[in-house]
Amino acid sequence: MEDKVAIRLSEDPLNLQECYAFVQSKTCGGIAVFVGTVRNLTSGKEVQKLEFSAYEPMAIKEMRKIAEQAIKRFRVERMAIHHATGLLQIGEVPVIIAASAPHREAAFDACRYAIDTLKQKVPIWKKEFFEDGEVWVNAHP
Amino acid sequence: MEIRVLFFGMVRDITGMAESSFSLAPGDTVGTLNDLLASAYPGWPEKESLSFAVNEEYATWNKELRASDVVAVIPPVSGG
Repeated sequence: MEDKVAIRLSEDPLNLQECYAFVQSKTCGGIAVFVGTVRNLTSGKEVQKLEFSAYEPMAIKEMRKIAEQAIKRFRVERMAIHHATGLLQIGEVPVIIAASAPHREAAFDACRYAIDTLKQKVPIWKKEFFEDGEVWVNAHP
Repeated sequence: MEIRVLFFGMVRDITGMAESSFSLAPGDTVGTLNDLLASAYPGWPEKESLSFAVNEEYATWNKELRASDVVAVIPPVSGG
């Protein structure tokens, strides 16, 4: 399982090509990639930037569990989950998930499962900065 | 026994620190620790909104703590 999963939590900008290259496999007929991006509005209010912080060792463990679970539950071969920490500006990328599978349904399903579960379980916190203050986001819609 | 406790997110803002240690008695649980923290820090979140991890794994309220444990208070997560 170890070599089928790539997990990263990093202050450096995430690299889409690296995630894609990791999951590529000649036995796979499809690769699904989810890219999360920083949106400029929350409830109609203009967001200036975001800051992500994490309980790093546990976040990495939980991300790994999600990827391993996705491989078991869906017929995917490889999965990469990369998440950024630190300050991110509008349009920048806090998360990339890539899954490869022999057939496309599994790749789509595994990507959705991974991002949905990450938002519920992985100890990462987002703070939104507005013109008039900052707030911890405490929901995972 | 002294238990090391880590704070994250909004909870870190409430305590004003990243970590601290607390004296607990043998047999005390994650729930006991939450009660202690709730009485120590005004504005402590509702129990229902919090999760706790013991040694980097999510733990239930009735998990008994041991002296070497590292506990993390996990407010609602918002990654992704």
